[in-house]
Amino acid sequence: MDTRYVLFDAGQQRWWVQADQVREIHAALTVWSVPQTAAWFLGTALPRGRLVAVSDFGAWLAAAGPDKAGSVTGGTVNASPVKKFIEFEQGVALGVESVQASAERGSATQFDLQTLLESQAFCSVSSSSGRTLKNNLLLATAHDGEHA
Amino acid sequence: MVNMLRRLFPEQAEGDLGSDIQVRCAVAIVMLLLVVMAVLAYDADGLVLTAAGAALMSCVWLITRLWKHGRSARTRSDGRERRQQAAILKLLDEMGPLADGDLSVRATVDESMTGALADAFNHAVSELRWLVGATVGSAQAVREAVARTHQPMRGLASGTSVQSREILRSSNYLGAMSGVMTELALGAGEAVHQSQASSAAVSRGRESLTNAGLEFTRIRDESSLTTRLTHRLAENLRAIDSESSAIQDLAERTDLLALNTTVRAAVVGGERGLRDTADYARLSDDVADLAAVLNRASREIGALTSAIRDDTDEILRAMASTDEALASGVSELDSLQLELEAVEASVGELDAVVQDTAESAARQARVVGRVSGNMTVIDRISRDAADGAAHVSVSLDELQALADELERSVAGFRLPVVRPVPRPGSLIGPQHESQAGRPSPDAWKSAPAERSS
Repeated sequence: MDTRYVLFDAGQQRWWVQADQVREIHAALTVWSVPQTAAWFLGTALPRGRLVAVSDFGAWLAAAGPDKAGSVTGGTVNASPVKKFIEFEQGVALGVESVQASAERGSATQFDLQTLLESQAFCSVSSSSGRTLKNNLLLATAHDGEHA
Repeated sequence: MVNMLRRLFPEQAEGDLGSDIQVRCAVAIVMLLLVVMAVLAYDADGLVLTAAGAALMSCVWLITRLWKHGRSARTRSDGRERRQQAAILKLLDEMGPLADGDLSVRATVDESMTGALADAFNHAVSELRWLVGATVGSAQAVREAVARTHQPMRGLASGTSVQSREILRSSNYLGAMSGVMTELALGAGEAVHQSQASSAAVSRGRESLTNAGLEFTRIRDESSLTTRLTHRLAENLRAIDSESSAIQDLAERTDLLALNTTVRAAVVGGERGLRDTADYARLSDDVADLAAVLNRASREIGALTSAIRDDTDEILRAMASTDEALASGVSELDSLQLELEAVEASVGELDAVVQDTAESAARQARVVGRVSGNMTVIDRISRDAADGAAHVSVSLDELQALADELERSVAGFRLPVVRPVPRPGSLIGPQHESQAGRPSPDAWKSAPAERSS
């Protein structure tokens, strides 16, 4: 069997990603929520001692997807049922509906994690109260902590 | 007697009249007179006329005989013959009306040779008068007595006949009643048998109910045990469900492990080469197969436990309903047993009552049978009494005819007209002689005085 892709469902859409970009798939994570952040930003977690920023990818797609310009306002988001967490090498974990491994991509959409991390909408997790928290900073901190 | 006759007829006693024949005739006459008197003393009806006739004929024959002997003696003595002849003629003249039935004749009693004869004649006529008068009086008394008795006797005969008929009818009624009572007794006996059979059936029914109650109790106990076992099965099912959840969780974790193995294979493959990637891929496939098996087993176990749980729930509901029905059935059985005990007691009392009724009916039937038998005897006696009354009535008719005949037989006699003197306590009619009543049979012995009169 030649499995290279990880397929996952989020935002009523199937995505694919290279399997080697995934660090680990979790069934559950203990997440510490961060106050004054957007609703799709679930918080931080420490799987196996690694600091990870956890986001609900389906909720982010519904609230501030890549087709929506501008900053994320952090309004009310219809949260999709998160059943699995995909932890990436970059210290980011995304909550998705389902995950499976496959050798074929099928009709799934390619998920580009690097582009997501560079987008302003994903990196700005500030809430409406004005407090701003840079998601990428968290990611950088996480990477720093990992390397340290 | 012979001396008396010789004294009465001294002349004849010296001659042929001294013969035994004449004496015997005189004795016969006197005996006849005595017989007549004896018969009169008994108030015989038929014999009176016969005795009177015989006495009269004897007197006539004796007088004739004496007259003939007197005439023959007159031939021996003219003077004496003339006197005797005259006396005899006079006596015959005086006796003449007697032939026409005139009982008022009276011969003159004097010192002649016919004086004693006249005296005897007078005595005989007197007795004859008394006899005729007594006969007439007796006939009248008999007629009156018959007349007095006849109507009551007819009523008695009619009443006895009605009584006999009613008794016969009552006897028939009693016979029918006896039959009915016998049938009633038989019916009561049959009722006793039926009652006893009912009592036995009730006893059997009560025993069956007791057995059914025991069976119900056993079934209820078994149902309770089944319910407990089913509850335990449900608890075990819940434990199985818990274990199935654990298996499901294990399957999910295995699936996750397969995914992570796949990821690690890709990472390691990118770092170290294709051969290690193939190894990780086989490991990932094995883990994925294990996860699939666990998932399938978990789903099958879940489906089975779900089906068993549904069945168990259904069994529990059915057992609850069965328990309620059994409890109700046991309660109804208890009530039914109580009712049946009451019915059994009632049937027992009814049995006793019916048995008493049967015995009473049997006794009543026997009593009615005896009464019917007695009524048959009474009916026979009543019929005999009716027959006797009819015979008595006929005899009364015959007695009246006989009295008429007796009166007719003395109708030819004429009695002197005298004032009637009733004789208390006697059927003898009016006294025709004198205030002194019936003359004594020995009155002729006072001949001198009567002759002198």
